[in-house]
Parts: sequence; C-alpha cells; structure tokens
Amino acid sequence: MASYFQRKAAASRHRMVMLTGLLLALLARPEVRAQQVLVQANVADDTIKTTFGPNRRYFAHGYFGYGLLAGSAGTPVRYGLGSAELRTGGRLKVRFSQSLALNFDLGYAYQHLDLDQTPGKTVPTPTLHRRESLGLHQVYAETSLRFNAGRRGNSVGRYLDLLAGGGWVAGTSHTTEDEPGPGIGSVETTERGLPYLRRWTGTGGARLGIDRYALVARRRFTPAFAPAYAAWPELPRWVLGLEIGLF
Amino acid sequence: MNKRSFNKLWRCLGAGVLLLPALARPAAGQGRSAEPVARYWVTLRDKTGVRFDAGQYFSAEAQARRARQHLPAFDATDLPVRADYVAAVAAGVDTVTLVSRWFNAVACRATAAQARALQKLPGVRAVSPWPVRQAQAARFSAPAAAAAPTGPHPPKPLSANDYLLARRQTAHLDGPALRAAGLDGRGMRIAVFDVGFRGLPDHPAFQQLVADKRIVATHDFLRNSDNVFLGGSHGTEVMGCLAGRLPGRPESPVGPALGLAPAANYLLARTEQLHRERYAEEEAWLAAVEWADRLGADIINSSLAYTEQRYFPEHMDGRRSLIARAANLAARKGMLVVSAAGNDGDNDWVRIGTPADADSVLAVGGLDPETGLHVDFSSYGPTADRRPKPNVAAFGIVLTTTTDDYERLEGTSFSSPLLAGLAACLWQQQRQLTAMQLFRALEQAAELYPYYDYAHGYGRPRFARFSPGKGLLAAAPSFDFVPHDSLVAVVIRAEAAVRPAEVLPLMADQNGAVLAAELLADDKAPADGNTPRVGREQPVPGGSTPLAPLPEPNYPAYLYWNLADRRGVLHRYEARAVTQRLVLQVPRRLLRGGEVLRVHFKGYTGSYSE
Repeated sequence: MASYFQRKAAASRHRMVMLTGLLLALLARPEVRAQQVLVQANVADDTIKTTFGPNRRYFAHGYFGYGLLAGSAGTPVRYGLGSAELRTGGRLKVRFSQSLALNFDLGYAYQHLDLDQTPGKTVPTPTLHRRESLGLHQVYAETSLRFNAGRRGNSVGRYLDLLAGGGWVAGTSHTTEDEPGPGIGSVETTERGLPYLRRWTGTGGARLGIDRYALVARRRFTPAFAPAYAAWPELPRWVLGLEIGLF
Repeated sequence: MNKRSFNKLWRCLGAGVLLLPALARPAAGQGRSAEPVARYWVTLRDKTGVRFDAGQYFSAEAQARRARQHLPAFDATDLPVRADYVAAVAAGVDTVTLVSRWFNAVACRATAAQARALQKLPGVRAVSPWPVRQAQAARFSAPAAAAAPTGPHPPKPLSANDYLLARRQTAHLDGPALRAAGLDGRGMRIAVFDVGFRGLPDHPAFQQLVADKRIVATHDFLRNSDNVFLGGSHGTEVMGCLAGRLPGRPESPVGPALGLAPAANYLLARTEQLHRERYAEEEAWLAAVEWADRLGADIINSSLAYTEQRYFPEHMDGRRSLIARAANLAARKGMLVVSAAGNDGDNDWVRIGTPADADSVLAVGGLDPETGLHVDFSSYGPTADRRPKPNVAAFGIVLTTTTDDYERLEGTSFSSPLLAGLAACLWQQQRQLTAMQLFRALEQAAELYPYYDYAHGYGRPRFARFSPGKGLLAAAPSFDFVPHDSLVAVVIRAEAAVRPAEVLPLMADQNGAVLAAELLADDKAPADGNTPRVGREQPVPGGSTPLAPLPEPNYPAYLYWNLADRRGVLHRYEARAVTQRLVLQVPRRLLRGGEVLRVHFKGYTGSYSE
C-alpha cells in the first residue's frame, strides 16, 4: 500500500513539473499559443539544388528481378517457371555525364533449378526421383557501366548496362520428392550445405531498360560445381529476365 | 536453345552499345537513310525578300486584336520562312517536322552527316541537336471514361456537394457579379491547347456552344488533321471549366455555368499525346500558338506543365524550354497566355513546370475550396531565377465535364481555365487593354496584392478590385508592428479583430440556383489520394471530403506573412489562422541584412524592416 501512494505521489509530482514546464514554455513563446499555421514554406528547402536524383550525380534505389534459367546444360533440366532466379537488391548510380554512369549493386538472389528425371542423369546422383531440385541462396555484388540514350530531364531514361559481378553462395539445398510407400502421400528429402556446389560465382551480362523497367541477360562464367567435382556436367549458365526498379 | 545461339545472343547484346542511339529513333523517322536519325533545330539566317500580306494571312479578329493593342499589323517574326531555305533543308534531311515563322527555324529529323551538311547551306545560321523523342510510360492510366463510347446519354444525377462546388468555383471568382454586369466572355476568342477533346460535341454541357457554332476552328497538331475530338478527354474537362454548363431544368434548359466564359468563341488545338512525353509536343505547341495567333485568339489556355521527364528544376527559368519562349512571344503579340502552375507541390519536383515559368505567362496555382488556401498538390514558386510564380490562384478542385458526365476533379489544370474565363470577362469589359496590362491588372486585382507568396501568388483576382490604371484603394491598417528587445510582434487592431455576421442577400443568384429535387445522394467511389501531374488528372470522389454547406465561399480572414531579402526573394512564408490579436512574433535577428517582414491581414499589407 505504501509503495502505491509513493508511486502516486511521484506521478503527481511528475505531472506538476510537466505542466509547469508547458506553462513556462507557453508564456515564454506566446506566438505558439492558439496559433495554427495553415501553410508554411521554407523556400531554401524547396529550391535547394540537389546532387541526388534519377539523373543527378548520385541516385540510389532498390529493385526486384525475376529471370528464367536458360542455355545448354550437361545435365537434363526442366526449363520454365520451376528453373528461375528471384533477386532483390539495391543500386547506387554515379553519373559521369548525360550518357555515361556507373552502377554498384548489392543484393540477394535465390536460384531454383528443377532437374529433369530422365535415364542417364548423373547430377548430383544417377538416382531418379519423382521431382528433384537444387536451390542456391546467394549474396551478390555487381557493377555495371551504363550508356544512356537521348536527352532527358531528371529521369533515368533509356539505357544499356554492361554488367560484371560476383556472388557468394550462402546456402544450398538439394530437394528430392520420392514415390511414397503404401499409405503415404509423398516423401520429401532436403539436403543442405552441399559440398559439390561452388561457393564463389562470377557473372557478366547486359541490361536494356527504360526508366524503372529493364530486360536483363546474365551469364555465369564460373563453373557451377566445386573444383573437386569439375568433371560433373555443367548446369545452365544463362538467366534471362525482367527487372523493376523501385523509385 | 543451344550454346551457339546463346553466344550469338551475347554478341548481339554487346553490339547494343553501338545501336543504343537508334533506340531513340522515332518509328516515323525511319526513312531513306540507314544511319541513326535524330532531331535537329535549324535556325535560318534571314527572311530577306519574302512576300507577306498581313491582311490575307491574319484573320479579321487577329488584325483587330493587334489594332486594339496598338501593335504593328505584323512584325518580322510573322513573315514566312524563306521557301528556298526550307526547300534546301528539306532536300537534305529525312523529314521536316515543323516550320516556325516566329523563330525563323525548321525542326527536322536528320542523320549526323546530314546535319553537318546543313550547316554549310547558305541560308542556315545554326544547327543544334533538338531533344530526341522520349517515350515514357504514363505515371497514371487514362480515366476509364476515356475508353467509353462517346454516344450521347444522360449524365448521372449530381450530388448536393457537387452542385455546391460547381457554384462555388465560379462564385469564388465573382461569377454572380460578372453575370450581373453582363460579362460572360462574349466576343472573346479563347484557344485551348490540350491532349484531346473526346466526347465534347455530344456532351449536354456544350450543347449551346456547339449549337451556336462557337467552336470556331480545331486542329490536331500531332496528326495534322482537324479532328480534335479524340485522344484524351482532358481537354473536355478543361473546357468544362470555361464553357461547360450543368444540366438545365424543364423551365430553364440552359443550366448554370461551370466556368466564366460560356459565351466566348473557342479554338481547340490538340498538342499533347496521352501516355507519352515527347519533345515533339513542344513543337506542336509552337505550331498551335502560331495558328491561334493567325486566327485571332485573345487568350490561350494551356493546362499543361512539362517537368522532370524533360527538364531539371534549375531549367525552369522561362528561357530554356521552347514552349516558354513561344509563350513569351505570344504575349508580345497581344495574347494573354494562361497556364496551370503544375500538380507537383506534394512530390519531389515541388516547383512549377514550363511554360508556367515564362515571365509573360499568367501562372495559376490551385486553392482548396474547403479553406481558400493553397491546395497541397499545387506547384510552388519561384522560378529557377527566383522570379515570383505563380501569379494568381483559383480553385484546384472543381466539378467539370468528363467524356459523358460530370465529375469532381482536382488539378491546377482546372484552376487555369477558371482564371482564363475570368480574364475573358474582364477583357470583354475593357477591350482597350493590352495583354500585359490585363496581366498586371489581374495581379493587382488579386485579394492579397501587394502581398505575395510562392504558394498563392497574389491570390484570387476580385472583380471589384479590377481597376486597371487607377491604382489601388488604400485599405485601412488592420494590425501594427510592435518591436520588442529581441522580437517584432504583430498585433491586430481591435477594430479589425471583429468577425462580422453573415447577411443574406435579398435574392440569390438565379443562375446558380439549385433544385432541391436534384440534390441526390452521393454514390461515388473513394479517393486514392494521389494527384497526377497536369494533363493527367483523375476524378476524385465527392463524398469523401464534404464541403461546408455554404453557397458562397466564406472563409475566415487569414494572416499571411513572409520574409524577403533586398531583391524581394522570399525566404520564408506562412498563412495562419487568427485566433488572438497577438498573432505573430518574429525574432529580430531574422531581419538583419535588409530582410523585410511583410504581413497581410484583411486587405491591408504592411512591411517592417530595420
């Protein structure tokens, strides 16, 4: 009970201090009393010349990308929506002139590869399953040289980017779905931390865009598999897709 | 896909660097040459020896306008471009897209080699790259109504709020007083440049306009045809705020006017394209303004503002864009150019667009019908070279005509025609004024004048204050500056601190009368909160922000104050609600270095400096 009154007295003192402070503040600055500012502008803020913007010296924005894996592969692959890459990242653009800029990207990409279950398959094992896939979680850094076409205002405009980058595979998974036993719908097995997939990757490519929309083609130059597994047949090297800038 | 085909694709992408300039090549420009084609602006050397008959070239109205304003029958800029020069240029390029008398220039599409060859022609003064075509996705999709068939069918019933808004948008600019004085734009010729006037001929709002054949001429400068009733419906919406009418009643088939110039004559030009932002539109605008000049336009309404797709904010100095320079020339030829300030006040651009940046263009900002103050989307001044803009202001939220209906829309696109209608009425009353005299008289008639800020300009012009050349009636001081040690206080005088009661008139304005039976419930969709840029306005719902139930705008007296430097450039400004007589205290340190404190309250503007 005592502690209750102490808390109540402390709260009351605290309220008194606050009220007194507020009253003093109001007396000290009478212009704030009952004054309602309806329109206000500080012209210096509105008219400041900025170095940041879509066609300024610096520009930064996020983006999403989706691409389909493509190209020849040494192992049978099911192409289509199941073999695709989803990426999200941020980009810093440094503009040198109206027609030349350099981009620096950092981001995350998830690549999913659907392996076709045909006789003769060897990667990662010759065993056939109902479904089988490889998944790669990747952190990447990429730089690109941007060539812009046409005069424009403070907008990104039309451009062609030449890309070069590298990634570190932070996580891998191998998922198989097998014929179930009697009374079981399906059996799914996931192996993580695959030793046979290479950790470091290097890519190059090109991006053709208008403002926030871009078509992207990337090619992986490094092998998909670790040096110890160099004899394994290669996985698709190309990713063709669409990118949407968030600005 | 095999490996070889992908190697080929990679080589193609690499080669894209070389092909990139061709991305900008317009489809229409793919002509005789295999080289990349770009736009060029070719300035010609002289007009020596050209024949020109002003009486034949200009319409009777154009001649009368010049005579009234004591302008010469023509000047050098009106002379035609030398045909031999144009022929020589045309022979050496892919396409000639514009021949401009005013600028003695030719816009064309040519290869780099052709452009170099042009410079050697005897009649060519200069060849400069003209901005290439820029195709951009529209930020906002077209209104759904734009795709609807244009066949006539009765508009939906209007809500009470919409009726009230329709009445207030003209009453705010003294519509009843103008009508009482017989001023409705009669005899004035107004040119409207826009994206298209879809549905206008069949809309009941324009029945009278069409029946009286007061659409004098039309031209589509993008397709080079006379049909402007296609493309977008933004022009129809703008025309609603000039000459549109609400549905009539059985006993009075002509409904109340939505704008102030329902009896004016109109020239309609299509200069703008939906979903695209092309520099070619500025060429179309220039061609249209020369056309309007020839046909005797008195006023040009341009509810367009070009901004970041083509320019940077620092380009908004009235000299950079072709459209701003053309607008200034139009003013010199005796036309009043009225332009929307822009709808970028609440986005990153913030500032006015072009041609509102041109010094001879009457830039119109938007006001909120709820408060009579700046509406947040209306673009702010000043220009890049710190000239004051906008000049004046009118409602930025209006009821107007869409393709086949009436809708509440927001944007300075509609402030501009409301003001253009007022200008037409005032010019009708005082035809002897020159365009720039009218421009200045409109500024001086505005309710804040001589106070100014970059949000409201001089505010809304008032009919009662319109007295060109007679000077201002001095208002009684309504406040005092009271300097203290470190502050300057602004104290409202006791006699100005009275709020008068409203007095009803004996008879209400019949033109704006509302039938109770017509005031049906509002059933519109909710708002999305975004304001598109000028020319891309979308309908806004009527029910979400109900208007105060007042037939006439009746706002409380606000206190406006600003701080300006010696050159008159504002550094800070505010508008405040007044709830006590000690209304403002400004630290005196802010007034060092020649800064001037200017305050406006109830028609009186006072200045304080140290």
